[in-house]
Amino acid sequence: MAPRSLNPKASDNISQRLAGQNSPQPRRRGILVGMLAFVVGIFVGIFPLGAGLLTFFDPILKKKEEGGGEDDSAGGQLLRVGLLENIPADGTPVQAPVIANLTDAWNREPNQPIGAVYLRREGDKVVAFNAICPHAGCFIGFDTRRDCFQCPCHMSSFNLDGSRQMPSPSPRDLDMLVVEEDILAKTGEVWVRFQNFYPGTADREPKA
Amino acid sequence: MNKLVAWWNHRTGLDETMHDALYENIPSGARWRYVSGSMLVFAFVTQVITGIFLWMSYSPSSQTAWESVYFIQYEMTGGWLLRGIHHFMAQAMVVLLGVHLLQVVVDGAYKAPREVNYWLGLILMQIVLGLSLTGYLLPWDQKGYWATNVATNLMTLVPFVGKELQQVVLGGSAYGHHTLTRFFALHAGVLPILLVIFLGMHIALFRRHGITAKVTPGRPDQYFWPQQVLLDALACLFLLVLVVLATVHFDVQGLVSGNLPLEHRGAELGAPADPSEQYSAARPEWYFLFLFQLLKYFHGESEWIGALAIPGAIMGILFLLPFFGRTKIGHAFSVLFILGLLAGAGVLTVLAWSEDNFTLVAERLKLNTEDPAVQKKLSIAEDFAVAKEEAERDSARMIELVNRRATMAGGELSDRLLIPKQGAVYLLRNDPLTQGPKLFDRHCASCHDYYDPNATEGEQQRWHFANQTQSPQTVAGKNEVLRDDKGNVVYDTKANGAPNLFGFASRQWLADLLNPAMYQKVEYGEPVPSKDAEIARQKNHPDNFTRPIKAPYFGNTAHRDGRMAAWLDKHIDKLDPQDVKDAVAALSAQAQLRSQLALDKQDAAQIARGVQVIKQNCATGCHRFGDAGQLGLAPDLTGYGSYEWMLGMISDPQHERFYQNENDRMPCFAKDLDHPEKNSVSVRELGLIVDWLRGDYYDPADEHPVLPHSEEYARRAVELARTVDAPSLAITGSATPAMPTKAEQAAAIFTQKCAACHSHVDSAGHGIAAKKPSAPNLHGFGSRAWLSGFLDHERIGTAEFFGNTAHADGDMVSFVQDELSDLDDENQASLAALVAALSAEAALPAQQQLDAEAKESGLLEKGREAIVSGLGGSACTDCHKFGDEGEEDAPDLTGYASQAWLTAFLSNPAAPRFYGQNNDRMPAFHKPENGERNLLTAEQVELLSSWLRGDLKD
Repeated sequence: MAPRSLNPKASDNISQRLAGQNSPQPRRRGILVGMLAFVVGIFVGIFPLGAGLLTFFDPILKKKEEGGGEDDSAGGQLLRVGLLENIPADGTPVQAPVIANLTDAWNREPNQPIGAVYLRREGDKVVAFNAICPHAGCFIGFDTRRDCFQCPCHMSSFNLDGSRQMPSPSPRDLDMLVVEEDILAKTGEVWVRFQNFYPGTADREPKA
Repeated sequence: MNKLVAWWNHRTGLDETMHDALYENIPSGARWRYVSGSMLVFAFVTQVITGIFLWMSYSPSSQTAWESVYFIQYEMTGGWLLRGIHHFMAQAMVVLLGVHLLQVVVDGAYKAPREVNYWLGLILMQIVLGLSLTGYLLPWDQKGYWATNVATNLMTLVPFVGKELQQVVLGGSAYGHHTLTRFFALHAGVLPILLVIFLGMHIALFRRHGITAKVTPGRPDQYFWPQQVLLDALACLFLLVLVVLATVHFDVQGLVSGNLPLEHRGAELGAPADPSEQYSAARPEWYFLFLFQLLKYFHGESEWIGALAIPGAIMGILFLLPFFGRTKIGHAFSVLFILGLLAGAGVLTVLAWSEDNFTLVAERLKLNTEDPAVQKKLSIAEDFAVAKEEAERDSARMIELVNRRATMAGGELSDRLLIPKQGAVYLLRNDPLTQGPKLFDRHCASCHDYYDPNATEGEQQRWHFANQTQSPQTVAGKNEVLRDDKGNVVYDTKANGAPNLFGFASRQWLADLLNPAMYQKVEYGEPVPSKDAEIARQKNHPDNFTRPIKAPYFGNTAHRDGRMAAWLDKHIDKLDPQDVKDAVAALSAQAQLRSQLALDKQDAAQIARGVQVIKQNCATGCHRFGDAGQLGLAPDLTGYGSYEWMLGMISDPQHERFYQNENDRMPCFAKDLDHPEKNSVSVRELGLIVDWLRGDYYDPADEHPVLPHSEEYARRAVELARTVDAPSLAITGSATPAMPTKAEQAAAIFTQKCAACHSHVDSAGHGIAAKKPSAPNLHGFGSRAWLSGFLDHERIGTAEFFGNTAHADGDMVSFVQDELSDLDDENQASLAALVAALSAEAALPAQQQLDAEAKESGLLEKGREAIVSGLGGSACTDCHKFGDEGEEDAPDLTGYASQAWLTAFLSNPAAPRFYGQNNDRMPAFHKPENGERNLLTAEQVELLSSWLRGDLKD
């Protein structure tokens, strides 16, 4: 049985077409109308999607804009993380929070912890490591039993100097941060250029 | 009725649809094995329903996500059940997916003509895994945060677009509000819609090709309805029961009795996410553990193989299976592949579990614990266990903190205070119980211990910090320990370490402190060999001889041989033991420790006695205690061990109220209040440490619980601690009346204004000692004893009199030393008479009797003559004025040390009548022309004079 429209006002014409009969219109014109309908249809569908995608890709579209700000060209935000006198002289590393202004979308709060570093004394100098594992980004701990940095996730271990204990899942040594030696020598305060790096690569690349 | 149904069906075609849906032919009839697809649909529908209701109460932002989930879980009626079903059904869905896939492959349902449907199924699987990944983050607890952090970090390994992909997913370069809004939109919007679309296609194609039936000859065909529908329904019921049982953690008894403990109520909720807080217990959901474990085996730059290539290859092969399935061997491969895949994932999951529980595994398998590889795994597993325990404690603590109540003025408890606008993480970051020990470990534990000395061996202490070690000396220029003649290792003599602060300022702590043996006690442990096996083999390597050192009090500090130790050695035995006990109770009461409040109240009488003991024994020469004693020689005992005192001490131990110059290596952690960025530890953090040490943290079991002190309060406490003449020198338990006596007022003035240079101590050493004696001791000023001492050629040049003043080189001192050194008997008598006469000028109340006798006996007359006519070669009046006689080169001796003389002298010692130009640093305390700028009012000068003369009695 041929399908029949339930609409009592439907013309026979449509009934016929539904029944698979030939359209009375010329074929070429039908193609043109079809193409037009297709284009208009695509446009009205794409437009709102496009508007949505703009905001969806906002993080990468706006990246360059935000790049400047507090990060300066020397790489990383210069932040004070501690005092020389508070770092054990025997080379045991200490963990210190990194305090800075924290911007989270519409919120901006001063003096918030934004990360952590390990500080280690080598004579009068201080070595600073970002506490984030270069493998997959877990927060590294310090294993006092074994005297090494230990990632709690995938077994990467690092020596006190930040080098990996091989074999290691981590593609590179702990991310060392620049300690401002002038300031350290003058004031005894430890200032580091704090940066996060993308994990998983042998060459470190700073995060935006 | 029938007409209505017919009308409805004509208008909607519902009957046809229902017919199509229900009357599908099943060759050989209904079977249990066909239920997995329906169960998956049921699971999804359950997730949609529970998910929509969760959505109604969930708020995605970094300040509200955890908070709203907390509210669902612990506050809303049935919230835990709703969340529990959603959580465990999600896990069931993943398991069902595995079963469904296995079934499809084993039964050959992936083969032609059903390839496309199989692919649709694989896409559905990806969507479901995407749903679980995004859902794991939404509660914004530590576990979800750190586990998802790894997953999104792995995204950056995707070639070319990895970093951009991560940023788009996170909504920025770091986790934040937009990570949550995006994950939530994916989880509740995009992915479910995609799932519905693909599921629709999946079912449509399934109907198109029909069920992949297992045909048993002779078993009649059946329609889907009702037989198979019943089986499906029963299977779904079974699934639901299982999920509900999982939701109550299989605690049927608890469920039935209605006493389900909190930890058995649905899914767990960890502590709120904190990017700065180390979280070592992060693990993905269990069905992702195999991927997590896989990452451990790919080292260095090959990480992408484990993270992307292998999972990608597996998915690729899964997509290609329909092509293999065309041949019999190919199908066999497909089946083996899927079985191998599940087995492999199973093994990796077990491995991941066993590494996290390696202590158990090593014990069970009797592994060699000497093996470094085993040791490493053991150590990591131990840390994991500790981290997990800590995570559980933090999450339990959060419940306590959210439900905290304040004690109101009347002693009643307030309503629950819930979560402040800053978010739940703020509560945990400012909780002394949680942060205190961490901060202590970070800032204090390199010198101070914290352990219960009375704990029995092996008893688990929640906090145990004992890190002090002593290093051996090394042979110059060599990496070798120094040994003495007998071959014993010589250790550094330099002490290292400070008191154990467990129970600081408690009665026990103070009682031990006052025990000379404990005060100086040092214990050495056995040397600990190096952890490096290579070094451990070297017999004389210094790293093998570091030994633990325990000194509960001052044994490791410069105070070990200080004045306090000397005093203890000399005096403590001579004191009545009960007095010492009273003093300990009284001093400890100043700390107002919460653990001792009841005790302090009960022992009020003992404390009142103790206050007097402290005043008499501690506040006479060294310590200040309320209005007794003075600052500068030893730490102030006023408010000893209190919140303010401790904050003052820790923030600046070199302050006048504390150790000042005798501070031994204790850093000033927060000296500069105006420039907080210059301090090594913030006042807020110091406050947390102090609150923890003193036990001032919220405890729901307390009758009158305390809340953490605010940062502002801590800052004001530091300011108060640095106020030398604090408005409240109140002594807890002191019997002192509210108004100090005149003598006390005068003594306080002396302490504040005079005791920087002058002492006021008797021959036994009691009284007010100068901080830096640079002027005469004024005790008994003007008395015969004082004057005899002054005119003694051996004493005038000492610190007791003019030793530390400019007058040491002056005429008076050289006169006494030259002229009065070798007196014959007659001159001795004249000197005595002179002293008596001069002293009588003072008319001291204590000498009333003596003066009267001297007048009677003519001694005064003789003495006055001696003043004028002189002793030896010179007379007093050569320089001094005395009555009508003499010169004005030196202070007037007329009425010397009398009330009027003293008042005038104190008011302005540089007046011509007194020192004039020769005045050495003595300030003018009251000049009328100075008005309000005067150091003392005229009344205060009068008061001080009277007190110095002994006119005022206590």
